[in-house]
Amino acid sequence: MDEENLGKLLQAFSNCNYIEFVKIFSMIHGFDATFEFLRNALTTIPFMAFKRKFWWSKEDDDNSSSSSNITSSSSSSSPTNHVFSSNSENNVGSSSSSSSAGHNYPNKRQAIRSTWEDDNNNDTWTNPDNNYYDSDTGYHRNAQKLKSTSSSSSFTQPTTSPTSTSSSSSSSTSSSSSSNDSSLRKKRNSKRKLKFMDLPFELIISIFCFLKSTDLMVTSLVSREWNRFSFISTNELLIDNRNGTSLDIINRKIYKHSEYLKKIRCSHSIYFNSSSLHTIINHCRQVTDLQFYYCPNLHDSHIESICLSLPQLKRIVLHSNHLTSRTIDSLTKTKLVNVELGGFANVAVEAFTKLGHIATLTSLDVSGIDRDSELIHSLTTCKRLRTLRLGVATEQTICRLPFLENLNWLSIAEWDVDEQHDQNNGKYLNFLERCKKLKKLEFATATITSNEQTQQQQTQNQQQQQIQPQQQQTQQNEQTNQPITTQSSILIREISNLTQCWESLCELDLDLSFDLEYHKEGDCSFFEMTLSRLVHLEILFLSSFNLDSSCWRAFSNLPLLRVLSICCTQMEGSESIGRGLGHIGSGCPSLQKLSLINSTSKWIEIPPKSFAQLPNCQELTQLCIGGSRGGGWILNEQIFLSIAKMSSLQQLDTSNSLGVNEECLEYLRHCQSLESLECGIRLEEDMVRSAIAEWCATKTLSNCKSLKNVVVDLRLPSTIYDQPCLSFNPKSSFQFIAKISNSPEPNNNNNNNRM
Amino acid sequence: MSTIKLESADEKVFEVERDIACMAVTIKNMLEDIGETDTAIPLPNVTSNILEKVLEYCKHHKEHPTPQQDEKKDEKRLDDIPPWDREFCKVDQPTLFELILAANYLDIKPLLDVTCKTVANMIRGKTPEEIRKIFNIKNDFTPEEEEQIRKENEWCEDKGN
Repeated sequence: MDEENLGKLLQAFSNCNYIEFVKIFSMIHGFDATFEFLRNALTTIPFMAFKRKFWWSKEDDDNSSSSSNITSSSSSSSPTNHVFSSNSENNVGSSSSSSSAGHNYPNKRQAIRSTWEDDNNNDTWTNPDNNYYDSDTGYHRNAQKLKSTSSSSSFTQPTTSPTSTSSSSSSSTSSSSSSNDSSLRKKRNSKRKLKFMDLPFELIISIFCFLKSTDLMVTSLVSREWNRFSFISTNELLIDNRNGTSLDIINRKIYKHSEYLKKIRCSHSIYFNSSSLHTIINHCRQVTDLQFYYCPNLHDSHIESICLSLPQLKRIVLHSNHLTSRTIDSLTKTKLVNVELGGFANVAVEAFTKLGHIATLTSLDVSGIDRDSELIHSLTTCKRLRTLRLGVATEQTICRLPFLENLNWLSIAEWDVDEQHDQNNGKYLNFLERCKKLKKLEFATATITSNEQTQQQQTQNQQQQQIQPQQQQTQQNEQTNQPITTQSSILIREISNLTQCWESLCELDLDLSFDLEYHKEGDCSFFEMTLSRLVHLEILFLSSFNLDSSCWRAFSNLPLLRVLSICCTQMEGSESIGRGLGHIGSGCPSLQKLSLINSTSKWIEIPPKSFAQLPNCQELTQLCIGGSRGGGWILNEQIFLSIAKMSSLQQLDTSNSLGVNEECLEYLRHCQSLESLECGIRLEEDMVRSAIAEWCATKTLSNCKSLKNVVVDLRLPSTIYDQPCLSFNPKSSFQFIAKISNSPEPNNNNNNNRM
Repeated sequence: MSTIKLESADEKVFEVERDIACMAVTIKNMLEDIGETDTAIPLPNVTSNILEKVLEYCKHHKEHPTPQQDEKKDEKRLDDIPPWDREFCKVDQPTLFELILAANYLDIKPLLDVTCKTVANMIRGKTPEEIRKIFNIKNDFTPEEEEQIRKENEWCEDKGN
């Protein structure tokens, strides 16, 4: 049963007579489906809601006669009591009293409605401060108090509140009941002040499901009820080699959360073994996403067990060099939708053709498999693919794929130039002619390596083979986890074929490493023309780009662009970035996130006049202006004056920029939405060097041959901790994080290392 | 453009464009069931002030459709609330919770997501004590229980997630 149907059924389930529902359901769907549904229902609907619906009035009867007071008075006193009596009617059959006033009661759905509405009624009409849901100790935490006082307290006395009075009168005449009900509803609605705990259980869980595990650990400490919410919402688990981990802990961890786990990620875990796997198979019935990154104890037989025992699995990630083609065989017996493979160094390329036998497979990621572009040939059988991520590809190999027309997302980590491209008038990316449905394209050019470099590489590979296998795996994984960027030389100069899919393309991630020499020829109009035609672009990442003044014009007409990230490896200077900002400010009105990184070794001043155009992007929420590789932007007060006009700005990152002073920060008081601020304080290198030299008693430590760690305690001034720094907002309390990092200056690397 | 009438819990009638009202799946289904009608559709679980807000949301998103982000739908992203939606959700807590209930009842998934994310953002990065203050929740743990949970969290710590 899929999630959508289950959701609908659960909704229906909470609104009707359970027994009838189960009877009808089992008649239609049979025993197995009913059992599965009930299991899901019992794990998602709070137990106490069931308890209340089935046993509430019984408990009352057992305890005292107060419940009968409640019931009898309910028909004539307050709307709250209407609810109780209706529950009785529907579940335990105390029909005599309820049926007599049945026409005054809320309809069945309202009466049987789950916990939250009934609670709200109690909240409003009787005891707004103390009544709330508590599954650990009972339905109402003060249930005993409520019951004990019900016979004599305000709960049953219609005169204690005006609402009760009106309710009482409503029950006396059926003709006036509807108008009275509506007036009651009005009062109820006008009075009701909802609290968090009044929300229905399933909505609280859906809120919690947006929280990460670190937040869920915090919320588990709020109260018992929140502890339970947090527990149920923990649907992801990470298993790795952190300190103190053992097989027992891993298995306990899996078992503890097994009922709700949907995703398990196991990364390099040396403890994870067949017993952990059995715990998953036997207890994690909701898991749909399993990820294994280089787990040394994971073998083909384990994957086979997973494939046979977890039919609900939708996604699997397997990065390993132990696994063989037997694993691929196992995968073909599943209903997987999404498969990611990495490593598989011992598997013949032809074995991957079997992936086409997975009838449900629509998303495939083989970028982690380090093979030549011939791997693509084996993927021609996967005809239902919508998403494809490749490692290496060439014009010639990718054209063989018969399903290019259907792809929504294509990622190529390393584009290699083959001899064919000259036959195509020097044009690249000709395959895009066929990708008419492509929404997202990630594309990076390959690194050109000379013969000498190739030899060096081979030598390095040989050395790596001598390294211990575990370290080797770690290194390989690091390589596979690297973002798709290459620091290459020139490969592609002509990208006009991108316009072939202009109608569908929404997201573009390009790392083309433009040729400086080519730019010197002064013609990058193709870039401007191409980009300006991609008018549906919403997200654009440009890495290793050399944007000169004319290139910046390309940003003057991207009306839907929401995210723009540019890493400039060559800059002509202040004037160039000035033009760029002007074009972005005027041409990208929908921009929400902007990241401009000066990835050169130069410090370049941002012209305030151009920067003043950026507040035109009224929806801008994140702004990152910084540098890397030694250089960066030089900012000033005028820049911050413009930033102050960005009313929606939530995150500002100016770390690795110069010129930020107290006056600059003063302007930020106008950014009412600002939630996160990151900026850098640059210490004078000489000062740090002399301090450390003094502390280390220069050169003395070089005689300590066993010395492995030297910890330098850089103490920040106490004022940073004492005064929540920024005096302009004394009322707000925020977390202050001091992050210490070294500035990567290519020319001074040796000096830094010596220090 | 055809219009329909919606009646709130406090009996206020709103006349809205059919397309806008049909952004609520509940209303859409009702209309499919009953066909063309001049009678106001009763919405007994939504008050007029909340219904007004909901219709404001629907109207805005009808005029400014937001792009679908279906590829990363299972990600726990909280920073992707569009600016207009963020402003829309700047209301007091009871109103925000009423909006969540209304979005759930009317089956308007984008509104439900954005309101739930807003509440999740109020929780994110806070200490237990801060959360208790924000939502007026009583700490009913004994010191021993609290210590026990802290211990359990130590080995359950999933910072990498």
